[in-house]
Amino acid sequence: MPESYPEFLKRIKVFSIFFFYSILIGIPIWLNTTSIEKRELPVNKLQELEEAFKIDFDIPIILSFMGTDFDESLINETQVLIDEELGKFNNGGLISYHLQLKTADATLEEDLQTDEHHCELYLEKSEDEDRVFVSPFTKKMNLYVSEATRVNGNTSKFISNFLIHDLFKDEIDTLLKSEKNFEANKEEENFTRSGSASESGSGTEIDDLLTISYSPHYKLVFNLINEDGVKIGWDIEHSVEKYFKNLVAQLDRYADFSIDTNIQYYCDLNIDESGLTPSDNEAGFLLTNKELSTFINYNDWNLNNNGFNDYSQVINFIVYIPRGDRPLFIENSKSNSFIIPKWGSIQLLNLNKLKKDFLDEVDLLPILENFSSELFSLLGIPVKSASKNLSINIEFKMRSIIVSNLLNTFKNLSNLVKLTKNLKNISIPMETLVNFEKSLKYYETTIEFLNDSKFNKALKASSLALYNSDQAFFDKNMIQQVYFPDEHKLAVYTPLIGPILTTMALSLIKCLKDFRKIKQDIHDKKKK
Amino acid sequence: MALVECSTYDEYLELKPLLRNNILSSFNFKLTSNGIISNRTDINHYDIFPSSLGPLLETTNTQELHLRFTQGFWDHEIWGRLPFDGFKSGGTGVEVWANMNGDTKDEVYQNWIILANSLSAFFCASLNFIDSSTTTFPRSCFSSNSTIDINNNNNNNTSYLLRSALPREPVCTENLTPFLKLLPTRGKAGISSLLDGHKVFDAEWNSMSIDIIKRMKEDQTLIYEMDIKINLVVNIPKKLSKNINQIPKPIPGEELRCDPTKKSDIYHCFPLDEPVNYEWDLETLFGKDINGGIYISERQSRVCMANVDENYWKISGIKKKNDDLTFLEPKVLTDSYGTCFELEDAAYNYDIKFETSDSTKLPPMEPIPITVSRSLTGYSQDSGGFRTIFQNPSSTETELIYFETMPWYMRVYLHTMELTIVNNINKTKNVYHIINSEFDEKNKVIKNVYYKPEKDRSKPSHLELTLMIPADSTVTITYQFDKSLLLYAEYPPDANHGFDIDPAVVTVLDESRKEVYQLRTTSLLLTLPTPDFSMPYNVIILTSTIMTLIFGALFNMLIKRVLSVEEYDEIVGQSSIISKLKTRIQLFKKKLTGKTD
Repeated sequence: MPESYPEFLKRIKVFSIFFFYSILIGIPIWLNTTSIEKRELPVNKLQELEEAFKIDFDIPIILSFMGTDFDESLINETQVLIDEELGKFNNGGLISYHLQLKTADATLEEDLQTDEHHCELYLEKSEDEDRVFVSPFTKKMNLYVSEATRVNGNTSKFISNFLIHDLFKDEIDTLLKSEKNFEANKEEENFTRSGSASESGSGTEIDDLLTISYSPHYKLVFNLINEDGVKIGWDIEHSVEKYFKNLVAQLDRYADFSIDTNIQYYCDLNIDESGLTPSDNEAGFLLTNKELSTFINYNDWNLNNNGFNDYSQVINFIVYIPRGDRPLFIENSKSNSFIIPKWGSIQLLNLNKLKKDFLDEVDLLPILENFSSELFSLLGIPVKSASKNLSINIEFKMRSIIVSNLLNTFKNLSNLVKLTKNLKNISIPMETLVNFEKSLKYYETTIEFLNDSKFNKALKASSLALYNSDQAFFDKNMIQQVYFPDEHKLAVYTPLIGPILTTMALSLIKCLKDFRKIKQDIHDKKKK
Repeated sequence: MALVECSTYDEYLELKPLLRNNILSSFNFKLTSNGIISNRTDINHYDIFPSSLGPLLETTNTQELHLRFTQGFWDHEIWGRLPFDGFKSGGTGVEVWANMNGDTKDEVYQNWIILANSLSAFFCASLNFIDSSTTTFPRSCFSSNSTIDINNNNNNNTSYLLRSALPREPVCTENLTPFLKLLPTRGKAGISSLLDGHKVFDAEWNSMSIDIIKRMKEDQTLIYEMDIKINLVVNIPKKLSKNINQIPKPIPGEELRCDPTKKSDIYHCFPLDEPVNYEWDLETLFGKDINGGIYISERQSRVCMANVDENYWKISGIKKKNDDLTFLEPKVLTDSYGTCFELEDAAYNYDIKFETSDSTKLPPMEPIPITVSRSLTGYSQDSGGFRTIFQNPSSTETELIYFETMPWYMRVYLHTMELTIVNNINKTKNVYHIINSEFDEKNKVIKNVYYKPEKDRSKPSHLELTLMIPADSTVTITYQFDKSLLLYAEYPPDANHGFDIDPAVVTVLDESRKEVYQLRTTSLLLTLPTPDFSMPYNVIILTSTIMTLIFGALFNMLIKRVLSVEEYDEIVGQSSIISKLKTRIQLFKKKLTGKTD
């Protein structure tokens, strides 16, 4: 007796309920409970920001006229010239750069109270030729314009030439370069997926290799290191007060600095004494490049005073006193000192000539002078640049750091996105997402500050953006250990999924067969 | 701001012979820093005090820091009192406690974690495993030595004492190097040049301690005082034989020392006690001699030997350079015990020679105020108990504070506490239960109980008892606990080894409630129910199989057609080949037997 149609329908109902529960509810639940945590990164927002990435630098230049030989129209005239010159540079690139000439009036003075980046130019009549005087201490520059230039109407050209080809030349060049690098990197990402080092990306110069990466906090540590155990003292307190406090105060806007001093004894050198070459003109031994590379015994000397203090970057200054019976000299070095890139500076001091156990201010003066110039090289603040003015150079450095911070933030974040796309098994924990979003938020505030020409605040915000992007990228929870890898998941759950799916598939086939049969039966009956 | 040049350094080595040919060497290093300026913008000057620790203590607002690294068992029956009355030695493993200032407990705790993590990197120890589940805030067992009056020092900061111990930490050679790095001599000259990882950790018992205290001087400057001590007990015969042969070998027959009064031939030997006449020097103990004196301290570094009977002991100091040997003049110093040798010259090496004709001739051992032993009771996987026995050998009653922390996976039932007091002289025995209503009045032993129960995964239980142990008696305290199951990921590697429980700390007080002695019990090994770690796979696979079985049965039952037997037969009769075959066979059978029908 064949199965009746309603009976068959009941079976189909039962089957569909099972199907519904196991496939439509069971499998999603299973996938959900056994999957790794993957938060949705705001990739679109990053892309939007990256496409809209544009940095506007607007630097006010305050022009004052000394005497009555110049009139206000000069400002507009010069501005046109400057815009024209900078137009080449601002040609649709990521970074646009503007110098805004302004007259010195009372309202402006108030704005400048906030100590933002600006320059002051004083135009004066010169008796002989065109001259420029840049004050090393303040942000004032005097331009002396000769009679000939003035009569020929070349004054505006002279000003714009000075600004673009002299004062801001280095900065414009550097910005142009970093912009190119970034674009080259981006193109490289798009076209070549292979990890080979590109020629365009490796445009780093000696300066970049030397420079300690930017940090909002630096710690300067002055070490007096003695090779043996003879007691020694130094009047570092007054000397540092005299020669460094002032510098540090000027660098205040750039980052904050703390200073520690330290004396150490029994710091042996890591060199083979028998292999040393004797010095030519003085009794002692010469240290060659080979010995200098292993000069510091990181293992033995207690120089690990970083890491405790809130992510400060440590800059080390070492005065090394070799044993009394074996003076040491550095080959081809008059100052007897050398720099260890991204780390600090070392000065050798042979005491056999001084014959004393206390270094006073007079002894320390040349050493600290050397250290102060090396501090600038280590920070990457140009000292040899066209303008000798420190605060203008600091401002220049700040702006280029804002750019590199923002570019590096993008690099970090887009690499993170790339990583999560390429590695399917990587988890994206909440912390990464939070840091990612924070980083983008700080990026946006940086741009806001830049639009308002608040460079000091922009610097802080941009370093926070970079810091958070680092935190997002290096979150250790991203590579947490799972009990079994994702690709084994199916294998482990086969005992559950295999039989269930096979039974259901088989019964589905059976149902279909029966259905055909019933249809046939009904058909037959009708025929009858 | 004026620079306060007040950093000082002092070092000395004290040697004390103990019974059974042991010697206790204690290395003492005392360092003080220059004036410390907490203000970030001003300059801090370090010379003697390590510049690596100063900023850490400043940023974490630490007033006092104490670290203990101990390994081995102090045999008080033979060795007597602990050195420095036990205040400078910890329990097995690593112990750290600190006095930190802060506005809130949370802030202090955050700083504590920073401190622990940094110290972990510094001392190559697993101090980074310190978290809230091992940290306690002790009340009275660890007294504060800091003299800074917090209230007049700076704002309304409160000071908190935090403590944590890691009994499982193996104290090993890599932990000694950071200790030496803290010293201005860094183990290259002076007495610290004797310290060598392989020899120090080869000792019977060793303890390294650091105590840093921030102190205010008379002139209102703040300084750090650091006290580093390394104590070790070395067994001399063992060391001598090890110096001859690194790998222990059986003594050849002719060198065996047999008791002549008893039968002795090639098959029999009743061994004599260890010999008592020995000759050794510092080089025997430490593998090298002292590499010269030091110039950076105000005082010369010195080696002092405890007073011993001169008829049996001969001690001489030697100063040598190449083959040139001179003997040192022993001195008696006011602030050190015994005879001392001063190491005056950095260019010479120094060594101390010891000769003894009878090493048992030692000054009488000072009595210890109390002995404490603690053990686990019970054998089941799910519960257990503690038994702590306090024995007072003296004829005066002794007051003490008993401090104990237990990890959260031991659920302590304090109501099961039971107290047994046995008088050792007249053998009377009294038992008290804590739940008994008369407990408080009748027992005169437990003066005060402070108990903070554990909280799963975040807090250990913390028990502090103030006890008065009667004269000549033994007090036993027992209580029960349950063991809880941990989560899969919480088990440490090698979980079947068991879980180490911190040593309990006992601080003995005198009549004026001043701390006079401190000791620690041994650490305990607790076995917890430990799962088989391939379990997750098995569980998944087994449950999956069972689920499929149930599913299959249910599914088939519901999805298949239900037929009565008749219906079945009917269907089968219609279609099946087998049934056709059956009817054929039946027909055939009928044919065969049909004739009779």
